[in-house]
Amino acid sequence: MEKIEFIRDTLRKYYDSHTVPAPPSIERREFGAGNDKKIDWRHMSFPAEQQLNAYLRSETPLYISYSAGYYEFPEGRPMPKKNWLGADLVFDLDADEYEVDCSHSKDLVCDKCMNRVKEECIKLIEEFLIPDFGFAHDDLHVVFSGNRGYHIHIRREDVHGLSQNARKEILDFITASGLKPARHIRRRGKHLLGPRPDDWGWPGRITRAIVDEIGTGNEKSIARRMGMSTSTAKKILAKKGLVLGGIGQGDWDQVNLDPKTWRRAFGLLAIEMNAEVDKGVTMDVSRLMRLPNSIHGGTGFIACEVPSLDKFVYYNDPVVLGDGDVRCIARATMDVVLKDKVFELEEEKQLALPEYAAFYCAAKGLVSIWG
Amino acid sequence: MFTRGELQFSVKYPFSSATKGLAKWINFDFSSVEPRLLDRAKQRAIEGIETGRTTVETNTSSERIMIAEILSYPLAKIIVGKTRDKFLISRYARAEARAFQKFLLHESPANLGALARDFGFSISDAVIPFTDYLKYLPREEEYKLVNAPLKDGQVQVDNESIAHLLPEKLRDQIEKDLYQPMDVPTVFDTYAAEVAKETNRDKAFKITEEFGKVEAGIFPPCIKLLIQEAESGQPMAHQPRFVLATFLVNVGMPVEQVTELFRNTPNFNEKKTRYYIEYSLGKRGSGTKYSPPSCEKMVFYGLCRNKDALCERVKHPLKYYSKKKEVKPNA
Ligand code: SF4
Ligand SMILES: [Zn+2]
Repeated sequence: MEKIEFIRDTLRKYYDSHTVPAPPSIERREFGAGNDKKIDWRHMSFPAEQQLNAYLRSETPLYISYSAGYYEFPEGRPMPKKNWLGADLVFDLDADEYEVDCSHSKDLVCDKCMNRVKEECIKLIEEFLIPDFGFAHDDLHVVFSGNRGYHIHIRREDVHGLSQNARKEILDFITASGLKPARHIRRRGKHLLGPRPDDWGWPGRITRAIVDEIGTGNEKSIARRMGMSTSTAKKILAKKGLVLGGIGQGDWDQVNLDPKTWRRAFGLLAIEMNAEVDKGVTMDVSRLMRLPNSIHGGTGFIACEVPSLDKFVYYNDPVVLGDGDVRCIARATMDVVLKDKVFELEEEKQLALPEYAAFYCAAKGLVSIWG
Repeated sequence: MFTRGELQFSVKYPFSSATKGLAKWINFDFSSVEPRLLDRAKQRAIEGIETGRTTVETNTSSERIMIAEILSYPLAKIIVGKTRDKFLISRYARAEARAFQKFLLHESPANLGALARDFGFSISDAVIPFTDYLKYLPREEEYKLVNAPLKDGQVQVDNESIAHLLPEKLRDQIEKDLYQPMDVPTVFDTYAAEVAKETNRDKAFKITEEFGKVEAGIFPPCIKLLIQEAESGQPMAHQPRFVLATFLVNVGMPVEQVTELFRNTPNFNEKKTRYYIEYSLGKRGSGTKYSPPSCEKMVFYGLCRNKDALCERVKHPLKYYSKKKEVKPNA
């Protein structure tokens, strides 16, 4: 059997027996779907859940996406005719974005890269979205992308109207781009003034890291993290109490350092503490995102909401397809782990895989379907 | 009863709540406005649109002049609104905001506080929600959110940042007001027609390019397609890259933002991209500022794609953009 037939049959079977819930305000959303490229058609809309599911059952695209944006006329084209009413705030974190030294090809994943995305996602939420931006856990819908990453959808009404530019400001905050150390560590007359540890935003965050490093680090770690020479670090440590006391009051002058030294430390720590996200997605207010609870045609995984990132296992939890046997021929030699089972593929050998594993491996080109 | 001091305040801040009772006090009648008042209002509108800032006579003790100055604000608003011209409206709103900012920067804390209250900011709490902050974000780099004190969704503000936020809010309000239907005597239509005709758009457009927000929604189809391609992460050849970068730089998009756009392309190289954009700006190399190619050349390069009706009437992608900027809403 052709791979595409198998994939489509399996998807159709799934959609026939399941209902994909409508995203909130479905009638205001634009939909896009595709088979080869992830989005071959867009500008579609569905008035309600029923029509969306009817579409999935009859057309069964490999990928279906919906707009983070809300439109008066979601089917209108070109874009301006839709009349944009607002958009959810979305973040996209994908394994490709990070430099992790994995040995596999670009379409596969491993624990290393998947853990890295997960950590980054947790960092974004716990260190920025909640404490700085004041979002509650309930405001943040974390959705597994169905393949290599996570999307965070924030649907709170006060973010709908944020312009593209405003969204870029949010990103710049998270990635610490445009942070100007010279604005925060300044000479006033004879004094070198700077932030205090309890200040809000980046200045406070970095100051706390500096205080922490001086308080607990040694000259080597200080020199490395703050980008200064060990002799400078020594100078600071020699007056540790005074320096920490001074910074506590916003006085950065207790050791006689060139302001540039502190500013460099500021910049380096910002880079260390920022979070990385796909910038394009957050800024683009007309971007289409994978529809939550649809099946990703490149893996067979469900793009499910993730209640707890800590506990989420990317090769178990999103497996929803059936487990009837499918006869395959391996096209590569490797182990594939799904639903806590190891499938040993050996090139050119026949084997029977449960449907979910056959789907995953066929979509990734690791097996051909036999019979 | 308005004192001289109060009138002086209202000359600078005609939109403040302190000015509210004025019309009643002088028995102002919209159905028979003196021509000298309308003339002054028209002048205010044109000056603002062309130069990017309105000015008022603050050095006078004549009650008559002060009242004319104050009234020129609501009257100019009606006149500009009546043009139904998106470009003029946004230019005018920006001009009033800049005039406002200039006064605010020299204002006493007490007056600043009072004006802030008029705009719904309560300085005593010294915080505003980050969504409002972003909505009225001043354009200066130093007010970027990343440099602002943000916690629990609130941004701490001080007098200085307030003096930068309020004008943005004023601008937003003026724009909103001017799109409302207005039930006023027909003489305003006459004045509106005059403003639309007499304003030098080229002058105004130059300022837009320098300060303006770039409206990507009205880019020509060929450019929109290139943007999509850049964003989708396909590798991009030199020619389309050059076209896109020069176009964006020419409509006033900051180098930062243009660089960002290319970040997704697989052959992205930040340094190179930046160099290249600065090159097209004329900051590097020969110092010549580059423009994107004409439509004719675009056809030749195979980059004229998705032509639409307006394309038939332009010879250059930049012209498409400037024409779209002039399009009248509701017309
Ligand atoms: S005609 Fe001009 S504006 Fe229209 S697509 Fe071609 S190059 Fe672009
Ligand atoms: Zn990996």
